[in-house]
This record gives sequence, structure tokens and C-alpha cells, in this order.
Amino acid sequence: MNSSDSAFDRDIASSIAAIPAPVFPAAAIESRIARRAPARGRSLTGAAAATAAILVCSAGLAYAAPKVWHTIFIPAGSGHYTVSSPDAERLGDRGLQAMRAERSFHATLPVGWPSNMRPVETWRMGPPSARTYIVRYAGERGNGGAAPAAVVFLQKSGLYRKARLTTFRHAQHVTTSGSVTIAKNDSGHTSASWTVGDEHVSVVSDTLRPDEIHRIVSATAATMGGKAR
Amino acid sequence: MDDPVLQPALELVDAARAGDPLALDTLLRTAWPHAFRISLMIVKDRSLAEDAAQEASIAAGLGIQGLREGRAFAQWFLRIAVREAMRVTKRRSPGFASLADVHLVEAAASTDILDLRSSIAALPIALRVPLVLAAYCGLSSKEIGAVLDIRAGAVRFRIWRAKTILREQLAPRVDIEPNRSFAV
Repeated sequence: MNSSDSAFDRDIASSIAAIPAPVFPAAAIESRIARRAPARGRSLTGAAAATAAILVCSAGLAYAAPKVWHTIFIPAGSGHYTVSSPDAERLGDRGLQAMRAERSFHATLPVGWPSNMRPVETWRMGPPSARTYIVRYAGERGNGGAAPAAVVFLQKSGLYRKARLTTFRHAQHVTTSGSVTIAKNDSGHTSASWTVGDEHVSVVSDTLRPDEIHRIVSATAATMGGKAR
Repeated sequence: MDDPVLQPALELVDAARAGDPLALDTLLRTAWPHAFRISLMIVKDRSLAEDAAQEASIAAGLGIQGLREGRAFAQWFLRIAVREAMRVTKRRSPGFASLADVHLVEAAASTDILDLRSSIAALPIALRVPLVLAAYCGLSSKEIGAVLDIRAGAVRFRIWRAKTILREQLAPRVDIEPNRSFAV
């Protein structure tokens, strides 16, 4: 290789090395490694035993038809959420696009998240007329703190009351700001749920602070041209 | 900017092979930008490249304990990254995107860099991948041959061909307009 050749190699290497890489998706990779390597033990599941919030989901109507129920694990922060459903399915790595393409209602994702958080996994469940979406958010771990994580449920607002879609167990501290209720349960998870237009949004997290959740509520309501109720 | 060559400390690789989750996390973080860039140069779409790099990281995380020699990590990991990116390329619909979105997020990058990268991206995949593995990853022809399952001689030819095309495309052009008069 002559000197001009190696200089050209360096130019090529520099042009590729200058590509900005996205944030390392630690939570997604860790959880998928844990899921696919059960023999090695699941660090998330183990840690979750003490802190898990159980979210029991049932979507009523056709969704309540007798089927084989199975459980999906949604890792979030130091714990995980367990969702039992007869037909929950993961939408894959391009799940948000799939969700937007086949939405049976507004299905607008909440906005106003802390800048280091983004959606990493999406599930859907229920028939098209009563579709529920679950979106897991994750972010980079801060200085010594837990990696930020949250789970969002998007449901049709009409179905929410009828089916009592989400049940948070062990709620201890409940605060109400405007019409939005924010509950903190004994395992440290904070949850909020509100309705905007056709949509009922629930956010649960063990890392988001109440003021961060309030920001999400306000920003989402503003985006969707309505007021949270 | 990260060092173009993926060279994690041997102790780190050995600790990850021994099952240390913190070492594995650090190792995968170190390898992540490389996996992403290689994937991007193969699939030419940021979102798909992220998917491919993520799949490569997961495969590496699951398979690291079966890696016989810590020294072989870079070649082994790059082989996984290329395989996942090629799989994504085969899966996607034809005519999908370009590197345009990379340009958008890199306002600070010089035109030369963007021109060069666009020209690399325009190369046929059979030439592009060996070139990226040689120039960016610093692998030898023999190592690239092992990653791509082709002979070292074929690797050398493809790299030479890729560079020839790039030089032709990037050579300064002089356009002469005939019959044009200039007032001085």
C-alpha cells in the first residue's frame, strides 16, 4: 500500500467514523438478552420481584372471549410490568410505524418526555374495535441512577371506564392535579392516567418524577388540541 | 470521534466471557457505535441500521461466553454486525431510502466528508462492505475474507475496485463551455 493509498484509507475511515451513533439502547438490549437466555438467570426479573407492579389488562367486549391467556414481561427501570392478555403481540422493532399505520383510533403518543427518553418497544392487544397499545420507553442511565424507563398504555377512552383496563395495586400516595391523578404505589412506581379526545393515556414509571409526568400530561394535551380530563 | 478500529481491552472481553454483566455492558457499549456505522454503510437507513446494530449486540451478548479467544472478539463481533446488517438489507423493500438523513443530522460535517461517504454508499454492496471493513475497521484481507466467507484475493480485488471507482468519482472535474467569451 503506498502513502497515497493509506491517506485515502484514512479519509474513508474518517468519513465513516464521523457518523454520529445513536444512544446505546442499554435497556432494550439487556432485556432481550435476559429474555432469550433464561438459563443464565434474568437480572431484571429477579430485581423485579420486590418492585413489580402488576397491571391486569382486559379489554372487555370481544376481547373477553375465552382464549388462552399468556403473560408478557415489560422491563422498566429496576422492575418489570406483567401484562396478561389473550392476544398481546409485540410489533417488532418498527412497532411505532406499524401502530400508526393500523391505528383504530387516534393513538397519538404522549409528548414532553425528558430528552433522554424514547420509545423502544411496542405491543398491541385486543380486536381492532378495542385496540390497546403498549409502548415501552427507555433512556440512558444517569450518574449512578437507574436508567429512566416508563410504560405507556393507549386505549380508546370509551372502553377505559367500561373495562377497567388497568389496575394499579397497592397505591399509597395519590395526588390530584387538575383532573389528572398521579398515584405512587408502595413499590415506588408512579402512575398517571388521563383522557384526551378519543384516547385514554396511562403512564407508569419508577424513575419519572411527578413534575416530569405533569409536563408530559400538559404537552400531550396541548399537542392534541384539548385539555386533559 | 471513536477510534475507527474496534479494540476493546482483552481483560474486558475475558470478563464478559466469564459472565460479568457489567463487563458485557461496557463491551457492548464500546462496540455499539462501530456496529451502527457498519450497519448504516450497509443498509443505508438509520432506523434499519439501529435495528441491525441492536440485533448484533444481542447476538454478541448471548454468544460471548462461547467465544474461545478474547483476542478474536473484534473479528467475531464485526462478522455478527455484518451478518445482521445483510439480513436487514435482504428483508427491506427495494429502493428504500439513502444516506440523506445522515447528512441532515450532521450539519457540522464537511462537504468533502459527505461527498466521500455518499460515494461509498453508492458503491455496490459487494465492493462497499470489504472497503468499510478494511478502511474503517482496519481488518486484513484475510480477516475480511473470514467475515464475508470469500477468499483473501477476492477481497483485495474488491477493495481495489472500490477505491478505483471512488477516485474516479471524486476526482476534480473541469467543465468547459465551448464558444463562450470572457470580458476582462
